[in-house]
Amino acid sequence: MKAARFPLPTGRLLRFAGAHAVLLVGAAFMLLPFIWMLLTAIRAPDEILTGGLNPIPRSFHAVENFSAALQQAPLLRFMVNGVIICGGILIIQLIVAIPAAYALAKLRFPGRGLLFAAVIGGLCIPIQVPALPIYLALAEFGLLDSYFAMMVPFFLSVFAIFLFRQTFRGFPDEILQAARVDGLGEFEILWRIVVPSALPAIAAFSIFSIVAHWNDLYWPMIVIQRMDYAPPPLGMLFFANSETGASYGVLMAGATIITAPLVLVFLLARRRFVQGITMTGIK
Amino acid sequence: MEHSLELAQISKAFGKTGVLSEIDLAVQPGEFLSLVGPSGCGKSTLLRIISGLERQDAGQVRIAGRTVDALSPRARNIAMVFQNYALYPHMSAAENIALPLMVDRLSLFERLPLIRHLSPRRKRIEAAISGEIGKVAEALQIEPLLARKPGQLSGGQRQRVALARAMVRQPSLFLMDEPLSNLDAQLRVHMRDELTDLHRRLGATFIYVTHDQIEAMTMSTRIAMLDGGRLAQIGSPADLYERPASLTVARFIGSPAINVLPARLDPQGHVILGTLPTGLVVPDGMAGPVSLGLRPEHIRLHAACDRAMPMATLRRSEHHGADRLLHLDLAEDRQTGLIVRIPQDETGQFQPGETYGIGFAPEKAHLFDASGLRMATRTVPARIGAAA
Repeated sequence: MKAARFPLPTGRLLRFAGAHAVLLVGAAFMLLPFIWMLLTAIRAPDEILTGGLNPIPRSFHAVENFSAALQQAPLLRFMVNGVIICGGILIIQLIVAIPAAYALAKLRFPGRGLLFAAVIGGLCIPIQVPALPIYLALAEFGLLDSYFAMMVPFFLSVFAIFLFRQTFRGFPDEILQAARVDGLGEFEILWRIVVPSALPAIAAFSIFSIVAHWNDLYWPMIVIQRMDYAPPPLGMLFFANSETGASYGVLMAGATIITAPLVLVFLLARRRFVQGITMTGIK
Repeated sequence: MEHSLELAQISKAFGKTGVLSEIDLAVQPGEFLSLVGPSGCGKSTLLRIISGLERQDAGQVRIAGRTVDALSPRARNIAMVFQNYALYPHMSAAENIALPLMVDRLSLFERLPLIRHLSPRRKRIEAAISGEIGKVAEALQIEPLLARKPGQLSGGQRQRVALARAMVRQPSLFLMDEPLSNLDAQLRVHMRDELTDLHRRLGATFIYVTHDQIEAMTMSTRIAMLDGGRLAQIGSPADLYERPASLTVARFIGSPAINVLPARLDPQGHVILGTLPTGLVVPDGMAGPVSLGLRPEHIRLHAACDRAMPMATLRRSEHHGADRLLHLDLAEDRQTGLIVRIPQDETGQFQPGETYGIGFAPEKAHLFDASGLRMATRTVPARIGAAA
């Protein structure tokens, strides 16, 4: 009788082991490319193709590979470019999306439903669709090969507007009314009252945005020809073509260096990120 | 002396739904006026119109003799306390209380992050503000809580912080939107006491919205009851209880609710209950159906089976401390329930299942016409249950 109501410890153990086995397989698929990247980055050139699946390198070649990567490619330049582009995009995205989302969530005005429908519609349009017209316009104004050219298509993020609108909607109206009675204007209500309580959602979006634009190859490849403006992935592409040829160890050392900042950012903001996603899920 | 608040012909509709129609109201300085009514009667909307958060479709709002229709909530010099307290969640209690003063006294630039440090007078003003917060906090006994965030406060403590935020501006008008309804029963009784006390100490004008008639009865100097967007009655708590202007008011005010019995007027204007004359007469009344309202404490039960009384059967008897409530069914149609309040020491005489005669003093009865409005009555000697 009791056994029926309380499952045996072994049963629970099995279920625990089963769940973790599934998770481990998933994690292995996710992590394997990164592990391989790291392993390649510390191997000697002759061992990379002949070493097979042996995870332990016979001779450590890390110092040589990393110093070669740092010397041969302007990695620092690529990363600075990446920071400028990601930072610029994110700041303007937030400045544009937060007030827009607040208006859509909390202010009553004619045409609000239509505007929100347009936002939803915008979610369905990938960057490839407006790529050509934007390229032509940038070429017309002589703006190709600039930071601005890399950032401009992403200044207006409908995803950010949508995400923040959902977050702000859950914010109690009474608090906004109390703020109006206390004399705050709508913009001050926004940055003093609403934004501080939406920080988890803002952090979550920031990570999405930074990861997407740090790793973006498609758009920079279209508008950038000169290496001094290249963000990390495009820089790696230039680097692989011109300098290193088939020197995979050096290439992977470079890849490791440009991936590291993202991993660090995510680790630092992990808790907020998860909180932000789950919160927007509930509301 | 000019009125603290005057409403003239206020009307409001949301889309096609009329919410308020032609509300006229004048409030004297220092009054504690409750706006009561069933949910959806428009009382909260009226409060929002007074505060400026909502704009009326027609009519005028005057605060302290000044027409404020074109003014923002801030410029109206009012303070509002909300049902959910509406504290700013990421600010400490002290910051919450300070905010209205900061907005009043510092310019927008002096409130911006970083730039505010450029202002030479900011430090001085902030010191003055924190002094005032201290005084208000002392009055409400929340000094130990000032550093805490709203999430770390209990419901009653949050309510006090919300009150402090309202008080600190020294507004000409306090608007309160069901401020006690999120508290548990015991705390609500206690806060009722504190609010009444606060009103007396401040001498300010309070406009208090509630759906709880006990709150309105115990705290207010006057009650305005709204029904279906119209002002049903305005008067002192005793007025509303003793002379309800309509059946709706009579039913809303008083707990347990008033007993309403179907009756009719005969061609001579006598009020007939069942087949028996009640001793109530409506001068020049039209024959037809009417409603007879009797407060539970005004009904007397008679054990003696007198044929000249309506009869009712005792179904259940409830202990309410000093009183006992008797639930009866009227004999002729079992649909009409009747509640009678009697002192505890008289309960021994009444047994469930037994049938009793019903008596009342006609001057205590309320009569309403078919549309629910109060009818003027006088009494004549022939009356039900007068023998005992």
